Amino acid sequence: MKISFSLNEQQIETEIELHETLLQLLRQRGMISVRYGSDSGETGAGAVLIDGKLTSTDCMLAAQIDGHDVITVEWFNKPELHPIQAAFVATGAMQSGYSTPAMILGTWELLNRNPNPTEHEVRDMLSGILDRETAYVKPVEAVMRAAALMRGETNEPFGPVYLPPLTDGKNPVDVSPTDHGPDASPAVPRVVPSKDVPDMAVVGKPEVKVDAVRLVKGNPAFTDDFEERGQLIAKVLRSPHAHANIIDIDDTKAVALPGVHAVIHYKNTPRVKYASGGQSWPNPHPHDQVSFDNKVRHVGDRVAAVAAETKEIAQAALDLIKVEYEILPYVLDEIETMEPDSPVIHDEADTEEIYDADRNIVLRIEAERGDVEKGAIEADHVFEDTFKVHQVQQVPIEPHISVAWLDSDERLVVRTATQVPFHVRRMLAPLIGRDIKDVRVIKPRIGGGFGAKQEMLIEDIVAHLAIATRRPVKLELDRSEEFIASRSRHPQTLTFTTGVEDSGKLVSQKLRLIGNTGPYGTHGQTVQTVAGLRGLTSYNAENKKFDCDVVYTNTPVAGAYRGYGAPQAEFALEAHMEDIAHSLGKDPIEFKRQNWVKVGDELNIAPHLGERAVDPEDIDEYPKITSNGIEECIAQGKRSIKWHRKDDPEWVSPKDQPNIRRGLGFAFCMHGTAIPFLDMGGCSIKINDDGSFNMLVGATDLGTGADTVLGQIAAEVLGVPLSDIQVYSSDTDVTPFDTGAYASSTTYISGTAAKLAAEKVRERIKERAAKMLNIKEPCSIELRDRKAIAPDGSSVSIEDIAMEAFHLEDHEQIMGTASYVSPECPAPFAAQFAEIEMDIDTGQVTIIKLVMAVDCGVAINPVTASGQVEGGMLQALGYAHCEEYAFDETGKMINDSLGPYKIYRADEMPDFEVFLVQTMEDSGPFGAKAVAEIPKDGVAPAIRNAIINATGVAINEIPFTPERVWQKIRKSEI
Amino acid sequence: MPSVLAYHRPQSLDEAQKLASEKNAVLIGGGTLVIPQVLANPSSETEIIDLQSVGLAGITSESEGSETSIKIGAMSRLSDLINNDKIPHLLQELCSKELPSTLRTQATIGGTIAERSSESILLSGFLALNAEIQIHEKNWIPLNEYLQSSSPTGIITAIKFSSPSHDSNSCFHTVGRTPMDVPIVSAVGYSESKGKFQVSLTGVAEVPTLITAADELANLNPQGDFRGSSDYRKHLASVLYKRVSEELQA
Ligand SMILES: Cc1cc2nc3c(=O)[nH]c(=O)nc-3n(C[C@H](O)[C@H](O)[C@H](O)COP(=O)(O)OP(=O)(O)OC[C@H]3O[C@@H](n4cnc5c(N)ncnc54)[C@H](O)[C@@H]3O)c2cc1C
Ligand code: FES
Repeated sequence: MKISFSLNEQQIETEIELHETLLQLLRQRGMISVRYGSDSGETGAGAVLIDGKLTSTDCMLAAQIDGHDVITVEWFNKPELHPIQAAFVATGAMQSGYSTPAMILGTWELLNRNPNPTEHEVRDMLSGILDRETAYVKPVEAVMRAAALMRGETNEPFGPVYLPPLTDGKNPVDVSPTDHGPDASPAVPRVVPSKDVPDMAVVGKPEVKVDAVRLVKGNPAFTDDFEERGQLIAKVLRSPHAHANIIDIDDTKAVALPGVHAVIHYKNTPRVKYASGGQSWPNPHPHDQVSFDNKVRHVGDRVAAVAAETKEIAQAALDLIKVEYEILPYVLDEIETMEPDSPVIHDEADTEEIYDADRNIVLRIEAERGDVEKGAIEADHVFEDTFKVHQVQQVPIEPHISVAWLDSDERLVVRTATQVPFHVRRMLAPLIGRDIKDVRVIKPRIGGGFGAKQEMLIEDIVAHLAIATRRPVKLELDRSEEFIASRSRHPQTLTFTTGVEDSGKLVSQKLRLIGNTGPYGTHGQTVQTVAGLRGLTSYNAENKKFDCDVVYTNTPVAGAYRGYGAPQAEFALEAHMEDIAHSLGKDPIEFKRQNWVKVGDELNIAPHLGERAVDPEDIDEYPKITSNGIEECIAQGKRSIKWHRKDDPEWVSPKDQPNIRRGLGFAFCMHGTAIPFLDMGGCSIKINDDGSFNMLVGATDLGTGADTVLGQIAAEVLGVPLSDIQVYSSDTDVTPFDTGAYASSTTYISGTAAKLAAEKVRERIKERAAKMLNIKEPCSIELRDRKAIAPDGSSVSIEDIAMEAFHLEDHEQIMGTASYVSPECPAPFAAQFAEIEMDIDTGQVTIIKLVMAVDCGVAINPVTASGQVEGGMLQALGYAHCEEYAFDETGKMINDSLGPYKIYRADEMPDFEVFLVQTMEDSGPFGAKAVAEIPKDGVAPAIRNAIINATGVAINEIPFTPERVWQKIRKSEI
Repeated sequence: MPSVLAYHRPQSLDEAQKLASEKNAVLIGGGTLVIPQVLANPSSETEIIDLQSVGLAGITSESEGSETSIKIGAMSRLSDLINNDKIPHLLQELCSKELPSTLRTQATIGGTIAERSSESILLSGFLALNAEIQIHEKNWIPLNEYLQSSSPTGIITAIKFSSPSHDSNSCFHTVGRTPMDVPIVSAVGYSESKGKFQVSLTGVAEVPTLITAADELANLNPQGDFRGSSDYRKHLASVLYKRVSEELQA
């Protein structure tokens, strides 16, 4: 069909397919700022202006646009930024930037209509554009600032406010109820500087993200923004059954369908065992997956895949594949699965090292320090509580997407949205019968990952199909597949048993954990190990024990999700500790303070847990806490949340609203920074003629701002502005190795690698400068302001040094390569506070405000660091409050779309306030520790504890959805 | 094989009516619900009848004596209501609550009515206002009658209701997982004049349901799901009914 419409003020006549959506048409016409996030308008990533109004393009046919006007962000793009784009850049309002173009269009439309919008109106405009990263905090600020710019006003530069500390860094203080925090917009990071941290030129500054311009202009950046010629589209046939044997597959009709190039399944792909978790070699056992199996173990499991000329043909081919199933009983619950009469999920002969396949136990993890049984006997009180946490999804707005092709040397190239390009290359090679050297993995920009992309999830499918068809093949998951066929957070049942002296001192703490990995092991071992680690290191107790079963069930597969076992364990731990305090009649913060780890304390069970666990007899010295800013965090947090209100009965039970109760809650949070002796990052830096630098890193920026932060570290060392560093990541052919973006490791590990590489370059520059300036001691030279400066004040520009090195004397490429693996894992700490309001007649809990004050060492970039905390809290809020997988009686997920699976939108967010409390972590680059994961840890327990403050009712299961809460409170007297 | 066999954009209601009687023909307003469903089924061979050019958009008001009647064309987008000052504030709020910014501009009033979703708070608002709808070549009928009929057909052309007078009062209460969640149960109340009111509920039956007296609550038999069991929904219905009625009578 032919249509005619105006695209960015150009009249276009074009042939379209009847089934083409507007999103497909626009992308095909090069408007790649219009991004795919769903097929039914749920995400807004593909929203554009239609006849001047912000409208989704994924649930609209291209045909419907005939005669209308469309504007995309490309229309704005001039060499200089539009004021709206500039405001988004200046405020750090984008992380991955996947949906930023839609936000910019919405802003333009809103400001045209209403030059002076209220925050409510801004949030309403953003309500259709879902964001998992910024929590909408900085986008709202960006719109407000854009409005001011467009009204002709000027804005103050965006950056942190610096607050005087309230404590001496060690001892608690009382916060006066009349004391107020800063009067700044919530988007502004509140930084509490430490006197131990020197002032620096680039580090610690709110530098603009290195990729900001690319993202606000909607320039090609993501996997789907680059197209190979002759690309085929792949689709996967997925199991409708939770558990079944495949008796036979007949693909004759599908193969015969015109336009189909390959159909693959268990009958025609090699059976090579693997584990899909993107982890260091050797991947933890059991290796219980194959590309295509003759058994399916969850609804959504792979059955077959098709490569065809179009998505429609591929989809139709799936319907023509005849599969004969033998349906088996299934089990979803982690306790039931271990019962003797439960179905055996892995009954195949070729999976090795399953701990007890007949009882669906993947593995057992045990670790002990001291003797918990004895400790419990000696304690004055023993407390035991059981908690249940559920399955949730990462929901990156960009779904999993991979493209594979054979290059001119017939090497297999995969461009893929992954957090772990180097692991993918190593894990993929054997599945397709190739050497690692014959595989190249390119990671472009990623539209969010949060752990879901720490997995070799679909790369093998496109690789098999590219080899089979000798054509480029693309596979992009749809939203439903993201839920049922990617990865999710492990559901767990956790029981804490804690022995306490009358004085309040803990003597023993045991965590019994049953972790549900779904039907495949992938991250099962490591996530539960981290749960053990996080559950058992926050508080001192001489005797500790972790006792864990990781089990198979027929739920969709669990895997890595930001926080990695910690959110589960810290919910249970902070709830349990709160309840103990109440039982003993102690103030919860006082009780926790008495026991939490302080500087110099040993992390006594840590070395016995993890991928490289050691036995107690093989260890001389236990790792210790090296920095801890928790007291300052608590003081700032208490002031912000107005903590004194929790003891005011009139505030808790407002007289004029008999059905309303209010509450405040606290959680102590402690996380790790990278996996010691395991996480490794590499970096290489070379100078250019003009004194700028190219920096190649294997680290993957998921939107976290890693490229910016690594660039800032190098710039600080080299004495140049960040704009002189061109950061590129990552391509296994080009960039140095990196384990990948996970375990809160990038800033600390890859950052140290960047610092070391930059130092090597700096040494060469200094040596040449010394020669050029006739100075004897190169080490006396300083690099600053793009110059090498001698103690006598004489200087030479870095550009001149580069020119000399390339073109004049002692010719050389000044460059440096370094890598880093850490023996340590310094802990970031945080105080999480929540304010809630609840309706005791309905059980509806409303979150009013979340405050997190975090000690992440030195925040290399306070704007991106506070953005990390905001995004992390948003996801943690969903975990605590509204997100959950629901299944029908056949084991099928019934809420596999956004809406029924509820994630927070802009127009319903609680207030957020973020404090960055600096400490100097000597082992980190310029004092940094991690910040990316700790905001996942405290929201659920803080809300739970606030519910106790409001009603006295303790709820040991999340999420706090209305009926669950109502069922609990109706049974108690409030 | 194709999901979409044809796309028609009729220029008149009669033409649309004729096309709609063909096999596999499906009407679309905005298409927000229809298009994803059609595309998910590659062999549905649907003929799409797009109503955008039949002249059904627009909001008008007509006064007769002291009464003003507001008429909304079926092809009006939800966002058109928000930006039109003839529309009562209640309905504007419900439009915002019904769909987020990026879908309100596409979804139509006609599509929302025809969908008859049990969870549509906007539809519930119209119901509370005693709205009537018109189907092409038929007389106006009460919205409630349309919602209660078993399988209505025909092209909805407009919805109308009396503009709320100064003596009138309206409000709504909802319970959901989050403030803007599709409510598990919602209650929209409307009182034309003091002492007289009715409440429309979502989430308690197959379509939004009008309650004129508290004792009718006992007849509800909602279907439960993971967000709310049948009993819980019944409980919410009585809590919200009470809240709305008290607020209207205050
Ligand atoms: C992401 C998302 C979230 C949603 N959230 C909610 C929600 O919170 N609450 C809720 O209740 N609903 C929700 N919906 C449904 C929403 O209300 C509908 O999408 C919308 O109102 C339908 O309008 P439309 O014009 O796009 O309908 P269409 O998709 O065009 O049509 C819907 C139905 O109406 C028929 N139809 C359309 N126009 C006419 C007409 N004039 N005469 C007769 N029949 C007609 C169509 O044939 C079809 O059966 C959601 C939908 C999406 C995609
Ligand atoms: S991205 Fe890993 S710590 Fe920031």
